[in-house]
Amino acid sequence: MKNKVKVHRAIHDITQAELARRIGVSRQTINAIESQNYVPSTVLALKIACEFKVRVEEIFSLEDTD
Amino acid sequence: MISKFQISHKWKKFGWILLIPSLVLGPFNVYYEFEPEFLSVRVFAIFNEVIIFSNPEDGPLRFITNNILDELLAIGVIAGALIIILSRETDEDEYIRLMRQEAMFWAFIVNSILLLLMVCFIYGMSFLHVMIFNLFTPLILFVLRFQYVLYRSRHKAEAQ
Repeated sequence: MKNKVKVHRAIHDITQAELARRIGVSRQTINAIESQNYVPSTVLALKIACEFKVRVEEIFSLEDTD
Repeated sequence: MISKFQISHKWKKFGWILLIPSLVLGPFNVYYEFEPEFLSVRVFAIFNEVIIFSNPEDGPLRFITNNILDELLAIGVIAGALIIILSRETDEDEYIRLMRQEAMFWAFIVNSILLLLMVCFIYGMSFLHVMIFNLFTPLILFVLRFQYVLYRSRHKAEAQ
């Protein structure tokens, strides 16, 4: 699964640490998601989408290998 | 599942205080039979059997005299490592829990490979030492691997 967390973070002009604080996770979690090393749980994906006020599909999408 | 058994982060320091001295003193106890006299006490044994000499203290359900340093060190390593593993990180979340689970899996696999090598290459009474150390290596590998992946991911996040 790929994601556009970094893009949306840039649009909202917030740091990884700030996003992590707002949705209540560690900074390394945001870092791992952005570097495509970690697929977040549905709850966390929904929280991220909610924070950026977009639908979850606009941030997360399937890859051919999924 | 693991989150049900987790304890406060404050315990982690206590875990290290138990683990490190026990790990340092452990090999002295095993190799040099370092047994201070004041730790020889009467203990209750569910079962006691000395393999080489038959003695009146052999048998089930009785009080025996035993130097308890090795028991204390073993408890120190096991309890210390368990406390470290079970204590939450200050920023505990689903990703850290996943790292913890993967560290456990890694420790299990590496320990099994080490054990396979030891079975193939260590013989006789030396294998007794392998068995003694192997009581603790799964927990120790788990702690070390978890601390390492945690450090690496924090370092990576800091660097960006």
